[in-house]
Amino acid sequence: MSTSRRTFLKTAAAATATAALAGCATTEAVNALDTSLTWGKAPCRYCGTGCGVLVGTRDGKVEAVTGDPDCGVNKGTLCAKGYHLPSMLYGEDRLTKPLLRKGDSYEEISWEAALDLAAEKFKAAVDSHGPGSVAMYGSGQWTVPEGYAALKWFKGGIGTNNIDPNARLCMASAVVGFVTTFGSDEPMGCYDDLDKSDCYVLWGNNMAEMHPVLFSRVLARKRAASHVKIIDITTRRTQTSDYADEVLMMKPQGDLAIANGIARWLVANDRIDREFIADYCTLRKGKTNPGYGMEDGFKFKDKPEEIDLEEFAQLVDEYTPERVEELSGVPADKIVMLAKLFGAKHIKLMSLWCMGVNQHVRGTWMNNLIYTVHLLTGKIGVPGSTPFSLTGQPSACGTAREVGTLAHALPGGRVVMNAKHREECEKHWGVEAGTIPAKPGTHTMAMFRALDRGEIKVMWVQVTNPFVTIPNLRRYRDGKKDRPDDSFLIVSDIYPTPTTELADLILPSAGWVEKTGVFGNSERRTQQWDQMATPPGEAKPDVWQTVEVAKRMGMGHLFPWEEELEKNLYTEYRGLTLGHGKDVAEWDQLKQVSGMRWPVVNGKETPYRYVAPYDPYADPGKRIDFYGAKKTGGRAVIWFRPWEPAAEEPDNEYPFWLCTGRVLEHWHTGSMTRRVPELHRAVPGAYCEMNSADATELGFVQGSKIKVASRRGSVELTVSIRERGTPQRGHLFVPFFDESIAINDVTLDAFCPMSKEPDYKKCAVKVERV
Amino acid sequence: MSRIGSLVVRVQPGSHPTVLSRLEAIPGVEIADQTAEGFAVVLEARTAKQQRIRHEEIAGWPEVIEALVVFQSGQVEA
Repeated sequence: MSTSRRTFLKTAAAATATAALAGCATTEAVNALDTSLTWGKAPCRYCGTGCGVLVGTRDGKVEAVTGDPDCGVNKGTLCAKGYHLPSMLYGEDRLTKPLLRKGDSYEEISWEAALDLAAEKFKAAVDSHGPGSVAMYGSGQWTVPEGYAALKWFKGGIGTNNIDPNARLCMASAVVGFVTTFGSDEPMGCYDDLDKSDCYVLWGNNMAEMHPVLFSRVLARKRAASHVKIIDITTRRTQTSDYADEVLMMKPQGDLAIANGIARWLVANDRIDREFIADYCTLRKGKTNPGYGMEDGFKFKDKPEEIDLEEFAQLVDEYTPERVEELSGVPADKIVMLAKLFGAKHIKLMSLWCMGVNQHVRGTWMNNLIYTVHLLTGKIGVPGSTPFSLTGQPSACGTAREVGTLAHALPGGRVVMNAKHREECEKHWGVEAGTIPAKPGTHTMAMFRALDRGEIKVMWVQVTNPFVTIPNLRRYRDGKKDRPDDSFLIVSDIYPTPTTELADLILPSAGWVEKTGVFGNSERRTQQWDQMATPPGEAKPDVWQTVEVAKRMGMGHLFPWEEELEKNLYTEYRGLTLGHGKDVAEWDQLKQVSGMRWPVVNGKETPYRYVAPYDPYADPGKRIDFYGAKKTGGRAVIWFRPWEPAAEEPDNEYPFWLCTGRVLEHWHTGSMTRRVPELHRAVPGAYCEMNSADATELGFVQGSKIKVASRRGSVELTVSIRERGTPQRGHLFVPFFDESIAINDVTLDAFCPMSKEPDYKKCAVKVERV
Repeated sequence: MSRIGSLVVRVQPGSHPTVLSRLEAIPGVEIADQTAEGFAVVLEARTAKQQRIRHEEIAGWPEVIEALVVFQSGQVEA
């Protein structure tokens, strides 16, 4: 058994590397080796890193990819997923025709009939129940033109803000963290920082698997300079831990205590940068005990109060190293070690985080607190020394945040609650004043709860798979299944998924380079590509689908272009980004390069935001210029945010913590990567990582069949012991890429009250033998 | 017990033979494939630490542009 498993793993390892090597070439080699292919550039389809890819096509089909050596993100390298991009498009079961539900099956219909029906359903719902009865659930994988068209149609056409992307599930806490601290979303730093730092503090971030290309830059820096340290703050030992100098194993929710412990030590030992704080910061505290958002209709509004450094010192005073050890499980001396690194003036330090911090019932607070320890020490705005929020999806930044497809947002950092912002967009779009409602629409969880209650009559899902990813999934899936007539669900996708299974109308989409698009990555880099491949059958780009339905509802005036739809949408959107520090590059310039980081002024990109001379908006007389922080007089906010417990904790009945997440080989719900034979073979199904001591105590071995159950649902899995990750005792980890094992039946739909982003990292479960 | 992973090792032009002989000298390394650009390498080690050290050693050679982990799984019976 063990020998065959070893053989299997070695075969999978060899196959993955061999296929990856095949896609690995320099530009010169690409040009020299295969002139029979036509090569073009695109960003990778998968994560928020935004690796540049050279795509080789023949007769409308993608035949090869290689890392783009000229792209500053990856300099020619790709990860296992990126090297296998071509196969992602050519799974046997691509959706190729519009399909209409007839009872338990589907019948093929024409595009004309499908678009007419979609428009008719939207019109009927709006006429009978008002604009609030329709919703669009989009994606951080939407291209910029796709997201912009959907947003304009909903907010400037139908007159509802009920549009939200799946980025709510991954980046919303980062957004609110940025806005409440700096008055403006997105990072000041960039990937160049990764090559210059002395110390990398990873906050709940398995960078080796989730951002492998960026992690390779961290490791290259470490190889080049022996003093460089990696500190891994984590609830589970991962591949990242293997490369870390310190692994600080913490209790779930312990990060809040650790950050406060660092802040306390810095203040108590006067290792703060008083001049920086006096010149560029202000201090605040907010409301406490805001709840967890589990009840329908939940509302919360923070009430910030200005405090001074003395009061801040009093508020953090309870977070002594010993108290932090109690709350976080990290030894007191390690808290002091960490605080000393932040407090050391000569050390350039980067904090890096992603879902461990964002998917957190206090996700906004954790984002605030990471900025707090950087602002207290002035470790910000210096190349190599910065807090840096990593992104999960390829255009969560570009489409969800910059375009503003979140339920409260408008393009270019505007929000629907601001009358001037609404007016600017209405004018830009040529629509009547008052078209855009002032009230934010339903955020993702509220949207699915409203769908479940029958209040959303028509929902269109594009480029995402919510009936795998929504936490406490059973409620929402069973609701749609049991009451199919309550609502009409339209789903656009490239493959069948558990979400298309619930759809009333399925629309076949073009994927990745089968359409022209733009993504925006984690470091403010906008990346454009042209269509290079032909979509299969009758599949069409999502942006075309949106515009065609809008036209059928009498809103064709919003999209007056006869040709170059994507370019015209992008160019119109760009007009809303100019002049206030969000300027994205011109289309024609983007066609020539592998992306540009905004603000782009006079054709020049900005690597380091808020800092002169890099950022043309920054005052050259200042060390740093937080010009987005208008409400706080140009000052960044040092927040006090306390430790508070998780929404659900293990008890006698449900004694284990459950954490969920991704794996290196698969992208999100696996709808694309599980159709890539090499990736599927490498990791064919979900599993449950368990600590070996827990397994021994419960009588489980590698491969034992178990049931993991919470108060909400259960799934069957096999036990994985000391494989790729090792949880602490009393903890389990289950990846969510396997749609046949609905781990989100088990998770809890508690969310951060400020960002409304759910916490997929913490709930209580029990384990039983099957 | 052992840990199994694989790497794509991209090499500088002209350094193929040097890197190949160095790779072959590392215990637990199997060359799964090689092209003008580099090597597909399976790396088996006793512990995670040993695997990391070997990976870092390969990545640190001046002839190597990049050694990126593309597959990682392990603990299995050796």
